[in-house]
Amino acid sequence: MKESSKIFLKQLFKEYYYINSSRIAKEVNRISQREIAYISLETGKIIRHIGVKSKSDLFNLILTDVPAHLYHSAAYYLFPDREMDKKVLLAADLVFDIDADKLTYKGAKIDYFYLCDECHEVYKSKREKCEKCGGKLREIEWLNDLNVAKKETMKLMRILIDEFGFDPKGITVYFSGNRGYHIHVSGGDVENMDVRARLEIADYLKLIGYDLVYDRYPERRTFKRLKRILEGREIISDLNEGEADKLRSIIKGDLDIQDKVKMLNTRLKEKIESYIRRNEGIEIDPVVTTDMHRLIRFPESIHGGTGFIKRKVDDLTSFNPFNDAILLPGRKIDVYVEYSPAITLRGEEYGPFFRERARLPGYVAAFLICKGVAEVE
Amino acid sequence: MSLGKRINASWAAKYPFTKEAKEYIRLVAPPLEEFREEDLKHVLKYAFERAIGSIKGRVLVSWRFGEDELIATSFPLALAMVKATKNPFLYAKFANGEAKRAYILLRNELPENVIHIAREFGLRVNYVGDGEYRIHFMDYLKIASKMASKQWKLVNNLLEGGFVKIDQRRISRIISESIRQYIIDRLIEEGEIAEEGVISYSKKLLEMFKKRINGKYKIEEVINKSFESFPPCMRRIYEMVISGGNPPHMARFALTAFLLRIGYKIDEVFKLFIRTSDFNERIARYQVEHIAGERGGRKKYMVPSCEKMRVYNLCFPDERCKRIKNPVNYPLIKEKDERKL
Repeated sequence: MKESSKIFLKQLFKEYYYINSSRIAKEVNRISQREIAYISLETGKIIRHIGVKSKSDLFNLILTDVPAHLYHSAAYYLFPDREMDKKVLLAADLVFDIDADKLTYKGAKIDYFYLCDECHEVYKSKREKCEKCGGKLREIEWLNDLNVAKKETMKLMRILIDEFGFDPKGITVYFSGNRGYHIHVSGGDVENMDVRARLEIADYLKLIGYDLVYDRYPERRTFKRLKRILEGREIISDLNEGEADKLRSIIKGDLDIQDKVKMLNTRLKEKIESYIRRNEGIEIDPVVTTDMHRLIRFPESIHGGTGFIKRKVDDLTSFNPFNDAILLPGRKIDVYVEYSPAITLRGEEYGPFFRERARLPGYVAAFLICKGVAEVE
Repeated sequence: MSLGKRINASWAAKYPFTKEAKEYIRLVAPPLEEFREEDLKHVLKYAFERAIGSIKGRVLVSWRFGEDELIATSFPLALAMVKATKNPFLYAKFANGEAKRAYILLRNELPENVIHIAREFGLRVNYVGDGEYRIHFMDYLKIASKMASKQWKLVNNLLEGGFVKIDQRRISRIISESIRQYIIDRLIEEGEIAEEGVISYSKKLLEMFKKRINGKYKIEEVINKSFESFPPCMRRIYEMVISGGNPPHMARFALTAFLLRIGYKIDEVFKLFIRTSDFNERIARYQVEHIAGERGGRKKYMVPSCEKMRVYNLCFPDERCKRIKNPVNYPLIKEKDERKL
């Protein structure tokens, strides 16, 4: 990134933080017990193990060295500013992360293109190096649809409320600022769960360790699907002929589900389990949920890879990240764009651009600069 | 449900760790110094037998009519004797034995009594009828997450409105685990035993089990050699082991091979296993040494591959795991990643 672009981003980010400080500070409770960390926009380095006494402390920090990325620990510590093994863990929020790039098998669409850093040639598909000059290619991810991630988040919410019995008031959903959603559960007993309990929750959601033999309650989601499969009302597509024949013969038999399960051979059983896992499992990142020391992007802060905001979502159905998470100032600026597909932000379409100058609102310019396809000249 | 209903000898004999039993013992049994000498001898002797039985896992689940009071009072005395040994090995064995006893009794207990005891240990439990109970998932997980068998995994259970449905056998197991923990807490809490009769029996206990204790296996703080960088599979088994769980054989094997490979000493690995609920010193030592290649076939065992771990249902991968084929490589990759950051 050119120095001029960096100066522009710094001004823009700083302005956002200055105007929105009170809104941002509201989102994280017991701030003095959290570890704060950030990646400096200026140096690109991560600075960890910061403790702040108050919210105003935090803002002094942010406005002095503007962050490209700002994080807080999911955990509450006695000494948040000490080294890891001396912090003394008190408790931790329960956090879930749903990311579109893990959801491609459920239909999420992510485009990539490749930019040569030397001669600026653009490629739509991956190759070893630039065909023109032999330079190194940079992969750029381009997302224009987050609906699959949204649907997955809704499914997760239903399970958290109906199955885990969490009070909806204790659950907050955020757009992550890039490819998905973060779900924070806080308050009460939840914070005190140990790593093992969190692992079990992650496994439950992802259906890891799921075994048909124990699936015997008709109320369970997985059982309903299993029943449909074993009654021939739902078809598993990826069976070979032998397996399909075997399954058909089991379906025909006049047995109850448990007895049908007993007739499955290991291979077929595993295939059904993996089918159910794909369809009923929730694609959360297990590390985020189980690592109590994990840093989480600070709510309402700027994602330095997009210039979007990690935005609190009140109504998931109507939430549109390309509208509702665009909060950087809109003051226009001239930039040079190497390449960009068309994008729609705040309801207005920009581009496509190809090696051209453009006068764009601040948030559009910031997005293109953060993506590494534009510079302020 | 009033407290009064259960303050009686038969309840106290069955569940001597409950509030009511303590109240009963306080009401009927005089302080030790007020016993007649002959009675005191008898009571202490009985408690001593109980301590031995529990340590050996031979537990007292049936007794003659009229023995209730003796049985009830023998529990706190046996506990005091074990406590006075100040020996963690005997602590663990005694707590296991007493928990096993409670488990056997609870399995045939009336639902209202099961719930009563569960709640005394802070477990949110209801009876739903037909021999089935509902327990809050957080209370369930505190114990179930240490169990190795797949049927305990949350993912293989019915979870509705925050509660897990389980049968009498499993609720009894959960309560008995809470009891085990409670007894351990009582044994390790501050406080000296001063009563002479108790102390002399505790010395006898130490003498009796001298061979098995042998001084050198005190439970020390387990060395946390870069535990943070363990792969999730090993972390899971490790946590199970240090929290006194009961991981399956293959899991123990994998963890042992892994720990030896990353530089744990045989003795360090061995000490780790002292915490498992079915710890057997002789077998554990042999197995650890065997895996290290110092016994048996003299073959040093490799850490099972990720694929093998998957086959045994011991694999719980995270993102990093995609890049490795053997758990041993995980710490290296993690370190590399962290240096990049």
